[in-house]
Amino acid sequence: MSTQPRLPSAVPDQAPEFATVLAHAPVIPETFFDLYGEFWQRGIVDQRTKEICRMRNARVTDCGFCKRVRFGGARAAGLTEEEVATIEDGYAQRFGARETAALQLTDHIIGMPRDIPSEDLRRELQEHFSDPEIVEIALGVGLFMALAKVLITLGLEPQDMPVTVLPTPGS
Amino acid sequence: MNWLNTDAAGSSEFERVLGLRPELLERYRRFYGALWEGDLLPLRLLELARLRIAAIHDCAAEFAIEPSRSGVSQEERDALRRGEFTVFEDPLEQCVLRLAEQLPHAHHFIEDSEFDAIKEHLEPKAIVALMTCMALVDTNCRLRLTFGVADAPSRTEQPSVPPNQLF
Repeated sequence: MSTQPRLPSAVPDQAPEFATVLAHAPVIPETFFDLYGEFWQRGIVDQRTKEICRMRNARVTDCGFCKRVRFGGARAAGLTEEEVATIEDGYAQRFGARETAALQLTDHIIGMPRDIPSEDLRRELQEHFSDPEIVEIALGVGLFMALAKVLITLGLEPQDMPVTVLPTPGS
Repeated sequence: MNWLNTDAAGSSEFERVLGLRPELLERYRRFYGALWEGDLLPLRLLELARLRIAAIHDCAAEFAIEPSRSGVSQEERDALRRGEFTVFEDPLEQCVLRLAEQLPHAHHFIEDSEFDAIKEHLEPKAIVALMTCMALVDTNCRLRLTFGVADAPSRTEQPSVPPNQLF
């Protein structure tokens, strides 16, 4: 892995970071942030649940930047640092059945999915979420993982970064 | 057959699944489709990476897509399925395949030297597009497998044609 940027910034006088490096191909950040803003601001799943899944991806995909960023919307919805700290293996003992099902779907997607989830997990998911909500969570997890991998492979992980609360995308 | 109850319209089963959230599908088509327009880097490079990542995931649904514009032969498709790269003699294609090999499960282990090698051949715009596209193909495979999207052969010009089609 590298914490040294592997590409320069495309924006004069600005350091190479996620937005300034993606700016080499402007259509990519333009279409991504349009999608990401829709996902976070006009989604049908609450921001707290999506943030919990995002933090789980951050840990498993091991994205240093993602692990240290919090989105303001989930904070406002009551997600605490103590809860974030428990999104590790064994989380089922700390979260309720609904959030645990969302986390298990997250683990299924970012693990090594060779098949559909178990019948038990599918039943649990469909007990707590509508099918459109399941798709929203799954697509979100896919985006979290994909952009984390872009960030990591481009060497854009910070060497040192405090926990930082950012405005929720699209706000 | 996927395990969701979807009656959404779409040009593929993958679209009908994501179509349960039509506002997100529309924007996802634009995001992913922009990478396949051909103005960021050659489609053949994207297609080599796409097929290799599909093979690593053993994702028959992703592998079944056959884009006519990519210029990848059946012999090359078969080689990518088997993980045999000797038929790819072009140094740039070898660099792309080395990155594709690691992205699904070993993204932290891509070495600076491997990245330096690809920088000898591609400008930053193309590298950003390549890494983004590989990451989204990885995601597409995982979502297809998770939802049980069927592997019907899909002959198309390119895997995603914005704004209306995602195969």
